[in-house]
Amino acid sequence: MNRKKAIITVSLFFLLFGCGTDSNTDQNKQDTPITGSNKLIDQQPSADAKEMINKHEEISAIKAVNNSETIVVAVKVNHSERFTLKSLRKKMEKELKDSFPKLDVEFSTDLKIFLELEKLEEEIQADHFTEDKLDKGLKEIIKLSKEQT
Amino acid sequence: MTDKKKKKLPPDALKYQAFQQQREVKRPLLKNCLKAFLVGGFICLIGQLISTFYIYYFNFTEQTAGNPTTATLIFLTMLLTGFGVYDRIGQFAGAGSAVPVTGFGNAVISAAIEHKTEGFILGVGGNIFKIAGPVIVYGVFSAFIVALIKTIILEWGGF
Amino acid sequence: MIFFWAFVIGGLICVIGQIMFDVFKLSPAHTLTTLVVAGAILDGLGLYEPLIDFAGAGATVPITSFGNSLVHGAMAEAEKHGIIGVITGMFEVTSSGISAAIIFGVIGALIFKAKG
Repeated sequence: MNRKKAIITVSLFFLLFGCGTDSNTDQNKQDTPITGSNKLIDQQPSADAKEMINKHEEISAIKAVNNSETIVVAVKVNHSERFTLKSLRKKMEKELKDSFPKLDVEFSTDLKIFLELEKLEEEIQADHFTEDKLDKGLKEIIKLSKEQT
Repeated sequence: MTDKKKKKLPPDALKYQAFQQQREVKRPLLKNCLKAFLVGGFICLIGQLISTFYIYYFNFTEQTAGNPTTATLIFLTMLLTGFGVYDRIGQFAGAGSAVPVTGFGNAVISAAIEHKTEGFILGVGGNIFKIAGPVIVYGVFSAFIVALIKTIILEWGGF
Repeated sequence: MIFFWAFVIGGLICVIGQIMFDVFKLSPAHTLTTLVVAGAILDGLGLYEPLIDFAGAGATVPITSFGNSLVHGAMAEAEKHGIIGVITGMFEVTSSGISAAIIFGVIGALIFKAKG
């Protein structure tokens, strides 16, 4: 019985440490800026935002998408820094708001927002992606990030 | 095992055994804590898996995934409690099965099942919060005090 | 990583509960009540949210997070509507645990047989 318990415990720890190797290590910290064939939707502010936020060591990955009025940025923070997530969030949000005074800045550390922005970034590369779809996509993501329950 | 031994041993030895059992230190604290750690941690791990699943495959964010996760865990608790498995886990793990929200669910659901012979209104309805009641009552009351103090401090200290 | 810390922190909170069982000889009801109150106080001090950010389900699954959610609901409503919000807002963020427990309790009573 003791040996059985030991085996289960050890294998459980291997499972945990195995899952511990972040999928983040696969992603490039330096995300390539979006230069889709769609020239109507200028993603330069997003590229700038990414460069700016990347300078912070605590950030392991970043996604950003913008339209003419809004920019939405989502980051993944290194796990050991997550204790101070609140203050990091405030700091980076302020930085973005100062750098883009003409745009509405939405900043999130939420995993879901990150995943949704990732999807949106890929969709932008597609040829038939219109400005309307971008606006709609961004609006939905912002709505999602505001949900409390 | 001690019963078999009692039959073969002379009365003096029996007396000594009784004396020894009296002085024995009970409650293996370290072992209990280890068991609680493993089971409690495991239940939280399951919760994290469920939460991550909801974030990836459904339209939940980190903020909003907590509620469906809790509901799912309590659903699973209903199955475990109904089949008598949760009580066995509880005997092994002590606080490891009582402290997570599944323990709360088990307290409510096992009370409901146990008292159904007394009728649904008075039996189930009346007894369902025997153990869970104090948790809700003092949870709400302490949250009230904390939030009250904090709000007052903010209003005085802020502006 | 979050899976590892969910396991560890969740386990540690349960160990605290076990110590309350074995060393302080508290009953389950007393222990759980104390832990919920502790969760509420920790959130008042601003210490519970960082724990949730770090350990995920390791901090949201134990019963302590119930106290944390209640304070959150109360504070959120108080910010909007003033001090009366402390009373009206409490259950806004956290109905899931209690609702689910009641609903599955009744369903359980309907489906399962009582054991001796």
